[in-house]
Amino acid sequence: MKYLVAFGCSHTNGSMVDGVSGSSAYTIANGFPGMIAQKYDYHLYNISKPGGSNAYIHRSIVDYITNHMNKDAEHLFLINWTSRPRIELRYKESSAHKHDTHGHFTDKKSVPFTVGTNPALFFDKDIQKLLNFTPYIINDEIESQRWATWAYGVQCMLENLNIPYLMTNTCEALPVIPANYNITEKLNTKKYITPFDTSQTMLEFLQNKGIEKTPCWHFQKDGHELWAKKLCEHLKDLSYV
Amino acid sequence: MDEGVLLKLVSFGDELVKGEAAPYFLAETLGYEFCDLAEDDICNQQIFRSVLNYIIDAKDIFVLIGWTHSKRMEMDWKGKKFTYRPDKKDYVDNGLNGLHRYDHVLFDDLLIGQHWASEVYTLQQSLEFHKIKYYMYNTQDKIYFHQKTMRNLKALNNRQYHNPINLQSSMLHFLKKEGYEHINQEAHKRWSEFLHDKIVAGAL
Repeated sequence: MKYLVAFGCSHTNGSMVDGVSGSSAYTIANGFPGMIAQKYDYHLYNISKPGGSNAYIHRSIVDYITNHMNKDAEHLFLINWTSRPRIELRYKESSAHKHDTHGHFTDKKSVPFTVGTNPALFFDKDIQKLLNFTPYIINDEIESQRWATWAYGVQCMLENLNIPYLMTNTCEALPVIPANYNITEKLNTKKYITPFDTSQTMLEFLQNKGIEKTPCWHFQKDGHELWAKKLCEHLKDLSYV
Repeated sequence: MDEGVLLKLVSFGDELVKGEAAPYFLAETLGYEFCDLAEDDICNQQIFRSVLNYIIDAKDIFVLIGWTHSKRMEMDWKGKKFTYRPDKKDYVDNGLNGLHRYDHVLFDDLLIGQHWASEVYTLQQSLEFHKIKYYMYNTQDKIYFHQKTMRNLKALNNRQYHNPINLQSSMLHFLKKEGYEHINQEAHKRWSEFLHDKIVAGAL
């Protein structure tokens, strides 16, 4: 058995691929990760979460490696970094609240917290009120530094563990700023596709190709097919498939 | 330890290990050049970043990492960087003081334990990838142990990270248990001896 393991936010979760669902058993199996898995006969683990932050993506990669991975099986990791103004919070273990989205090995207590989220989506009143404090707790410059470091750390980790991988950006390019310049220089751009180029993010790339986005900024089947095709070309260039 | 190669001990950590502190005495004992990159009021996310940024081009170094208290969060407000802490109540900005009402959400034990353990794992893998020798310890806190962090914690290289889930094994609590009421020069020397023994025992 060989596994394609996809990490990311709603785009990786296949949100709206059917034109209807934000997250369902169908979307996680039939978005671009599912299309790639079907094409090359991989078993898919889709560990993405709508609203998932880059902190969540980093943590879920380590969580998969240390908790769920069969070290003897063949793996290909598909890591799709998301936009910066997001962090991860949790509902208390003792509470009845769940952030119930579809995905493999998902932690139902993990709460994606994004600037501009509708407060009604949170069941915990304190998390709702925390939205008023986002300018204090989410800072673009700090998130740019953290993102670059996670990407580089994941790169080193996967190289060390001999796990093949491909990284992309779905929502925005990784900003290069003085504080992360040195580390962004060391990112392997053969395996992290055009990380600094806004036009090559999933959102921009597909719109520039004439694909229409949904009102909630996602893509239906035609968009996922085109993005999957682009990623397959990179996977071929890397001799992964 | 490498014989015949001039190594530099590079120390990362918080205010407890900055300056003429345990890492300085450890470098002296080992006969290594010393580079002190510990910072006042730093948080673990910054330590993670600082180490990764440092090692990208470094050679012939031994990295010593003293992880700090987990309940610290880096912030940048109106262009001023600082560390937000639940135990600090005198922020000039009233909004920050108001934020304390939600500290239990921002500093959920399990969540920060999950992120800390993940960053330690990533960092250990990165240091191994760069073939850099290292040792880690906690200065004043522990990684929260929970069923959800158990396997991640088991996957850590504990030969090179001193007992991360035990608060009494952190530098501050260890020294207090040994009778050091104040973390003075003698206390730092004692912790440097302890680290030295661990590093030698681990053949690092």
